[in-house]
Amino acid sequence: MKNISTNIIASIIFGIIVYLFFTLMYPYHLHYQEQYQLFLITGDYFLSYLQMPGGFSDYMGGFITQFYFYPSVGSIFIAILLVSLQQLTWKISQRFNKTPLYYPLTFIPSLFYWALLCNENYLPGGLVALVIVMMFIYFTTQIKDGILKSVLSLLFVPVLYWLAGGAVVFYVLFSALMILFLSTRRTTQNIFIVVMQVALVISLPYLAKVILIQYPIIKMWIGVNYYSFPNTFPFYVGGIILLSISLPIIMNTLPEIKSKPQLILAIQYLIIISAGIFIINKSSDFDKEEVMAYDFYSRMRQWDKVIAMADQKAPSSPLSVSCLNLALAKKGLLAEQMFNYYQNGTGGLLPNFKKDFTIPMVTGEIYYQLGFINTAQRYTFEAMEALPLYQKSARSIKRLAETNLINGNQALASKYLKLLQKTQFYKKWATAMYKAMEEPQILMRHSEYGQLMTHKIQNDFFFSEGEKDMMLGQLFTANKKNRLVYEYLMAYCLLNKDLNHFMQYLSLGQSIGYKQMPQSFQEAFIYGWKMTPQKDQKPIPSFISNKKIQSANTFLSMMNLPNAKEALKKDYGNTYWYYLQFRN
Amino acid sequence: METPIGIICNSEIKTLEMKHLLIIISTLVLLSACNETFKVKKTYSTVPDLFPDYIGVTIPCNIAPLNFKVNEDYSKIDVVLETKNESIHVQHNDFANFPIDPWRELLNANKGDSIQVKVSIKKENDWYAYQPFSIYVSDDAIDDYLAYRLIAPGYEVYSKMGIYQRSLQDFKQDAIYENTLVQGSCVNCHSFRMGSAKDMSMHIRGKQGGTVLLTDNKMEVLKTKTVETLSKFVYPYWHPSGNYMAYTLNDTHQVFHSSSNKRVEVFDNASDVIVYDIAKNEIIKCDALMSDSVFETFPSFSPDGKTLYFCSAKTEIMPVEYTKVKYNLCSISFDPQNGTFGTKVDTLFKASNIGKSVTFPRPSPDGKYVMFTLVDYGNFSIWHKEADLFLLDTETNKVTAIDAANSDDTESYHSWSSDSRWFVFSSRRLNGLYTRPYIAHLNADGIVGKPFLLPQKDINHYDDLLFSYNIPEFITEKVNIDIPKLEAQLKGEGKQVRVRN
Repeated sequence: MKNISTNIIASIIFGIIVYLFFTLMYPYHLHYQEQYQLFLITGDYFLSYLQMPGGFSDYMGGFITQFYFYPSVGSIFIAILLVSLQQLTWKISQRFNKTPLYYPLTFIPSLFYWALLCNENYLPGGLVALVIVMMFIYFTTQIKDGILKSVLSLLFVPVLYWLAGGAVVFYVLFSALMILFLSTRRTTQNIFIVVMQVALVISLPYLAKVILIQYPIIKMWIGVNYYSFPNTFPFYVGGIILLSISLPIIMNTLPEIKSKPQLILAIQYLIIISAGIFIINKSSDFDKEEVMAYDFYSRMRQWDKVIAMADQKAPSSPLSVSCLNLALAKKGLLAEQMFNYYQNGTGGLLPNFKKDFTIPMVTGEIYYQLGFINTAQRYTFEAMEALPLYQKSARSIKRLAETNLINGNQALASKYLKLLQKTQFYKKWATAMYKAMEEPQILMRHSEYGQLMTHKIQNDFFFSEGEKDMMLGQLFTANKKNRLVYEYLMAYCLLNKDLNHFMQYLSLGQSIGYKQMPQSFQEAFIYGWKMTPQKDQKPIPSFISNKKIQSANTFLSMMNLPNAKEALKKDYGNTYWYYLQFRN
Repeated sequence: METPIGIICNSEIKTLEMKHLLIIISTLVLLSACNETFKVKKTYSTVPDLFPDYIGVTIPCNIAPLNFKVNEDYSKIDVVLETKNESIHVQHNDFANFPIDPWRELLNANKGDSIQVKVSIKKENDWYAYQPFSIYVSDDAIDDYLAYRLIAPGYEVYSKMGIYQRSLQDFKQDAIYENTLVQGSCVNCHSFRMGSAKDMSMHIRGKQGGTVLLTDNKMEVLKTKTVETLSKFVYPYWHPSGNYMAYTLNDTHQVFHSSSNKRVEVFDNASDVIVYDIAKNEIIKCDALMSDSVFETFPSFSPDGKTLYFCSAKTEIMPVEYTKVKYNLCSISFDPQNGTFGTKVDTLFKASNIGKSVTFPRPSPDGKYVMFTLVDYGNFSIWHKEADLFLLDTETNKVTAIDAANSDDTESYHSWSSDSRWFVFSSRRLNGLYTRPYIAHLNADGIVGKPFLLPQKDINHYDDLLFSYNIPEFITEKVNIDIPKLEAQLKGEGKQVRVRN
């Protein structure tokens, strides 16, 4: 009794740790997954999933993923699934051996699946499929031998195939293992049932292919979308399922030690905990978590949080740097502070378009804030279309609704809003926007939409990916008070080390009305001025401080030192001069 | 004044067969059993605002039920379809959903006549009636199927897409090909010979791809790029004999607009027209269709097979002068016996003279008309809001706008039914982006009826669908492609086409 209680407590603690991990340490991975699906609460949506083998598991996975909108809620589902898997492994093993001595071993499959879920491409539908298979195995083991068990064992195969896809193979494999390892199960009737099950398992994908003719046979074999990319065969998942079904049988073969059971339990827990920490640590990718956090806060317009994150640890990947630069620009600090942080060229300001679902989504956010509404619309559309499982994205649909509202296409905006009204977590926003659409003055008063509607591009031009400075210039020319666009234009020149254009565009900033010329502009100007042949030099303007000139002189005098890069880093690492000279 | 509306059973049903009568009566009894009887609190002086707008449309006598809703909030809708002899009465919570068998009977019994539609809605606890309106039932039946591609109206990246066939007598849709079969593939440009499902061409692009040619149900996968030609085969059109196909060869690019009223500009840097001899597996070239100083595109054969229509524009510096590209409607004679072209190109409609550009010339199967799309410039009319449909009378060469079919938004691709009495066209009038198929009637006098949106079982279908209906084409029967065979052929080398010397 005492052992049982301890074990239950261990399972509860395991669930709590899983919950805390995903809520506190890994929440942005959940946000990341959530944005890439559009889970509709409609009968048609549900039925569309049921048409595929394993579709039910995918649907349930999607159902859970929608709660990732709030990681503190979504994590509950992950914890429940992982604890369920552990409990089912335990319950099945109890059918053969009732000793609780090896209880800790039943955590192993859950630990491995937890490790898989640390990869943003592994989807919860796979875990649902595994739990369903284990439930069916458990249920089968609870039926006493006889005709009913034989009939149900056969009946479960097609049912399970439709619910959990190709994972049904492991249900049949479990039956086979039972016959192999348990002599009591080795009856003619049982062997016949297993043979029938095998025949069914082999034929079901081919039968499914007759109905679902437009899919390759491999899809019929796998069924569930375990991984975001359908061309990746889920070997790891297969390994974990195999482990889950073998473990009860393996545990049955382990010796029953009667002396010092507490010590054996403690040693097992110690090993499992140590291995668990190692595995989860190895599987977690906190660099990605950081990029996802930058993207999340940018999408939520929480600019202060973005900057605070950078102040704690400077970002280095182009995507996170581009989010930081956007946050700085939105707070009016880009020109002043951008070189206080690591800069990785124009790719960290406006990343280049790529045919995938991550980069266009993040970059689209920047174009949207700048007022390139069509480009933002295109990027978000492309990101959604690039989703490899033919999913739609709630984030994209929301942005499409916004961009169409700003562009004045209400009919199209309402199409997207109607879709969002069929979701759980975007419904409220969509309904509010629907109402706002009926009264344009509400939209005009909106701090973001109103401004973007006012600054809408009137004179058409083709967007050119290779001439971003020209695009920014065109946008700025249309509204010379748009500080955000001006600072992006100048930052682009600075990061591109294009001082000619920087000097050319500097005077355009008069309309912005800076009280004091931003640091990076002063630094770039002095450099440009010093590089100008003396005969062409005009007197240095008053907006450049003497202190800055002296600082530039020192920098330039030390620049040719053999270890200049290191020597200058401490005092000049946050200047444009340092970026110009020493950053690639 | 309150108007009582109840269940209607008219007397003169003698003309119907007893079997039909029984079906109608039993359905009406079943349907009416659940219907709420009511008194109208108020009758509006207007007809209802419907989605889809089926008020005053002309429909074929064999079309699927025209389910609809009223664009208002209501808790119930009550609709009576009334003719001289019979009626259908439905009442639903969400939209008017007509039972298919009584609907068919009603249409069959009223060919060449009209149906009166009486609509009432329940708001809170009161019923409100609208002025009745008519739906005209044409004697002319429509082809059994409509084929189209469903694709998201995107830019460069594509996700799931497919070519589908939809029964026009009911709501059943089947896939002809979906790109789920070959991961990452793109499928486009489906084409049928005079509406025959046995002769079909489509391109599957991607690592495992090619031009799939179905000739009398025999399938081949062609590799169509040659050293001597500009590109793989692109826009197709079947020769009525089934012995040839006209294709374009294009060097197509796209650029993206920045202002809110436009999105994408698709243009050719170069384009040619060729004819492919199916039996000999040869490309037939013609200098007049491959000029360097002219963009040639969108070929189509006349129903007698002796004329090839195409669009032709003087080349400009692209994309800088993209608005200067104006395509005229031209033709050249073709000898189907020898597979040779004439030497003279005729300009049938010089759109450039009025600052316009012609796309998608499509001759009617009876040869009386050529329907085309007219835009301000260029050839990718789907992205042009000003795109409208026009008819050229082949006897008089007179060009007229099809006002009944055109809207303020894009009308672009179109195709004829096999009897030349119906045409389907894609339109963006609903929201400016998602293309939807509309069907219109053209009578013997050349008068076009009000078009109707392809009916759907669930009226929310178009709201929920994130795909456009692309290249709608009538077909007279169901396409029957052996998908496993296609899958195997796509993995193979394919048949390399040759250029005729």
